[in-house]
Amino acid sequence: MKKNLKTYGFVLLLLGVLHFTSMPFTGNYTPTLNIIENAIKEQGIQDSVFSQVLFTEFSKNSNYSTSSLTQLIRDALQETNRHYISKQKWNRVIEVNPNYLAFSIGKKSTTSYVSKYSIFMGFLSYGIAILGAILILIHPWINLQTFEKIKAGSFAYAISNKGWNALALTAYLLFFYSIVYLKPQYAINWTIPLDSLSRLLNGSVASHWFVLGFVFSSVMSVMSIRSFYKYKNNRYQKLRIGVALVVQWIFAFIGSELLLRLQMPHWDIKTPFPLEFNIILEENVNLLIQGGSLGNILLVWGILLTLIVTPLMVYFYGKRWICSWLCGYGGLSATLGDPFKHHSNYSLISWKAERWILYSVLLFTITSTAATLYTYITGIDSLLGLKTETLQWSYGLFIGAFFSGIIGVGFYPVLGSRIWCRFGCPLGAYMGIVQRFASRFRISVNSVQCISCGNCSVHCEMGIDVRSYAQRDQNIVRASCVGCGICEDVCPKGVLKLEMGPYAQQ
Amino acid sequence: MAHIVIVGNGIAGVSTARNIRKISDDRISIISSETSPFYARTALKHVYLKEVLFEHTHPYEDWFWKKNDIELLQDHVIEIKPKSNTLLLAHLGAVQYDKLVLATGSTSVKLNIPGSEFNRIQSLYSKNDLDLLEINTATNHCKNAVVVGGGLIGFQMVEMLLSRSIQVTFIVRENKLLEYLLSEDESNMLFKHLEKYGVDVKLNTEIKEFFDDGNGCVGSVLTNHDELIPCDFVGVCIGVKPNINFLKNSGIESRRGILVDDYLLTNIPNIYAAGACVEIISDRNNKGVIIAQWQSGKQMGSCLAQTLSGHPKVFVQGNTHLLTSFLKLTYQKYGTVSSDLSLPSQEEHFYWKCENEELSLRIAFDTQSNKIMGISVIGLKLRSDLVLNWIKKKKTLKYALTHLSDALYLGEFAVTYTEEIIRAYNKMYNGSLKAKTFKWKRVLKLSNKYID
Repeated sequence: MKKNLKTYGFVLLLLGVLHFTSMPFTGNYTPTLNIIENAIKEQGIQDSVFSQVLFTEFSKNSNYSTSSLTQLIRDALQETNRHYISKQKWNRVIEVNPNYLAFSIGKKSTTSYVSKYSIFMGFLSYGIAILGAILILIHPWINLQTFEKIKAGSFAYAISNKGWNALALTAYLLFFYSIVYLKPQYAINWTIPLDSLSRLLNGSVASHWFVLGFVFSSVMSVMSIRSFYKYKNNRYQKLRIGVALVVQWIFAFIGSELLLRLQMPHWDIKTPFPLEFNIILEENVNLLIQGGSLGNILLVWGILLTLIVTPLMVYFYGKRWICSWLCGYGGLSATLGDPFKHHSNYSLISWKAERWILYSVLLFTITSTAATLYTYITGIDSLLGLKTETLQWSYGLFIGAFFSGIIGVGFYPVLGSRIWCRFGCPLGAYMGIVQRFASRFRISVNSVQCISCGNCSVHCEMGIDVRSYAQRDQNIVRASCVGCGICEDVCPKGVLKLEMGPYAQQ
Repeated sequence: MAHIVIVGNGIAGVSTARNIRKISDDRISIISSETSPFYARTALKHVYLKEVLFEHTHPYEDWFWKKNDIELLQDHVIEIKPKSNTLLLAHLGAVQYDKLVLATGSTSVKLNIPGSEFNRIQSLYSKNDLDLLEINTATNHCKNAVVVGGGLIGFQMVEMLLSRSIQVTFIVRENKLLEYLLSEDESNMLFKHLEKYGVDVKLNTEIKEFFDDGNGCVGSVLTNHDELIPCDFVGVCIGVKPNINFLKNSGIESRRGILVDDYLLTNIPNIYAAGACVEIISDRNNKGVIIAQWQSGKQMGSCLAQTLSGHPKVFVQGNTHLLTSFLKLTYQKYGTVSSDLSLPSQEEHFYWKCENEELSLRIAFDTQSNKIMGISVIGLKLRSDLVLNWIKKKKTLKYALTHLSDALYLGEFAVTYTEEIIRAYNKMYNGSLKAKTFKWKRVLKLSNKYID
């Protein structure tokens, strides 16, 4: 039994994942007029022509699959808009994402098998996949070997060396992220088993974002078993991963859902503003300002956190206090991303690209923020010819969905685990500037001990060429260093050490 | 603008080239018959362990050489003609030089016993050796291996073979591991450490003969205790010697290595040598010193660069310390710590060993003055410039023990054991010392790195 744990685990994981993968394609809906009306209202549409078209289309049939539901909505939308365009009523043209509307309608009218046995189906997908993964990963903890082993490095395994399974995992992550971000209507069956948990936390049924949060946190927790085993002799790693895990569940997952229940914006209150861009959107600011004492406290905390607490903490501890200890991306990269961290490129060219892309994103963030605040205060809907709404929309799509989600996590197995943190995170860019110019944190180098073996540079998840500093006996003070401590862990000579102290060199 | 030709692209040669470029714009060419460009030889183990790929062992990216105008030639030196300042290369023919630097490193010492010509018997020094090792230890035929020689490379070889799940027998001539480095206690600790990984260690043992398996490959070895050990592979790691065979008839003096003076100059005025191939003699009648270490190669290179650029500089061996690791267990040694205290000397040791973990600390001090002479640690890491300054400034044993937290260079949140160590001292010497907490002020004062 104990010996075969790994096999059982693989079988369970495979079954769970297979079932989970099939769920988006087994949607089944029987919408009523009432539901359609409510869903349209929820999307903020008050248009009698559109509802009329939708009603007549829907009455032709009683049963829909996810794709036919979406197609129907898309057709109705097109017909309505064609009607308005032909009459030259430009301002009546409806701009709504048909995928999101399909989600609202589908979510309320689902009659799939998942909705009939929601808890059981949840167990047969999320449940057995998680259970299987746990069985695989606790295997080395309980099946102790007679002799200790020297384990081969990351390049020895296909999964961590861009082999076929790494590519398959990439494809799967992209599939999952594309559904959650771009085609949420296909995630409806995924949301159903989580409805009761969601009701418990935020008072309403689960959305696709709830699925993302739950899967993100679960994967992190399960994969942490592996990381805890791998770093069982490294207390820094164990502590930071443990903290990241607890914080992910309490603040990022549960905390922000609870805020929603309190009529507050969906906000992970440990995250300063540039990363939580949503928080400055008009409706959220209004929620905070009009939200009584709780809202005001949150507003003051947000400003304090962003402008005072963050730079001060970076001064004392480096940006790692967020990037490696509190941030969900950091937690995911230390767990799910750990087998892939060596894919980060450390060449000089990639560093150049990093600075161009990263600070462009920061500039984009600042521009969008300025426009949003300008619009909020003055009521004028554009700044310097840039339409605020367009800025916000493109920021949400290109930075929020594509960069941080689809590319940032989806390409873990081929591009490394910190693509978003390194090339995109505006909060990281902001803290990096403080870290580079005014921080007590650095990676210090034990004098003249480096043998240029290259382990540090290869395994640095932020693509810092650590060796080029170490072999010159120079402390590493870099804007991008997230203080994950991997270089210290892999150095065979014990040359490197994360350290805080008065700076004397450089 | 002089033409400086460097033979050998190991750390000594490359370090020379880099440092010359920092001060002058002489024409620099590096000739090497080994893989080009320069790679970190010390990283070969990590390539075999698949922790890094071979391309990652290049400390400088490919554009580095062009940017610094250092010419890399892959060729083999056939002859040196000092009279006409010419090198004869296998492919490129004659090359003129103004100054020549020989930095040809070492070669492995071979076992000279019956059967050593069989296949699957090899040593480990270069990339070629590594490629051969990959073939020789392919999993389909290699199950058992013998490693001969209890030195640092021997330990590396053991670790490498273990990573491929190969059963290893470790044959060591001396009666303890790393005899020149370790005392009995540390050797025992390492012995147990090796046993934990399933390594069969045989001390006081030598190999008398190899036997083949019928196909020209090694099949078993016979020890001096007449024990026959079956194996599919033998790693010979009994040391290295300067690589100087190509010097024959050139007129450049050599004994074990190329003879050089304190300026790293050979007997011919414009020919210098650096790195593991040299034998430094200050006095012609005495035996010279050969130092085959990465750091020394680096230091010789930077020193020689000064001399070659017109600022003659005497080479002084800078570091008296050694850092390494044995199967994930780190070992560090600073200053002088004798491995054998039975000989009469002024040296006395304080030794502490952790009960539950593989950690130990040894401080060598002068019996009369109590000044520390050296420190060695297993499983702990120390701040090297600080400890070297302690030794240089002759701090006492009591100072070292009470200020141990300044010197420890462990990861954050690691257990430090400073209290236990002090308690052990107090018990042993009936003392009443108290451990001091870490202070940046003291560290800054005593470590070179932070002295402005």
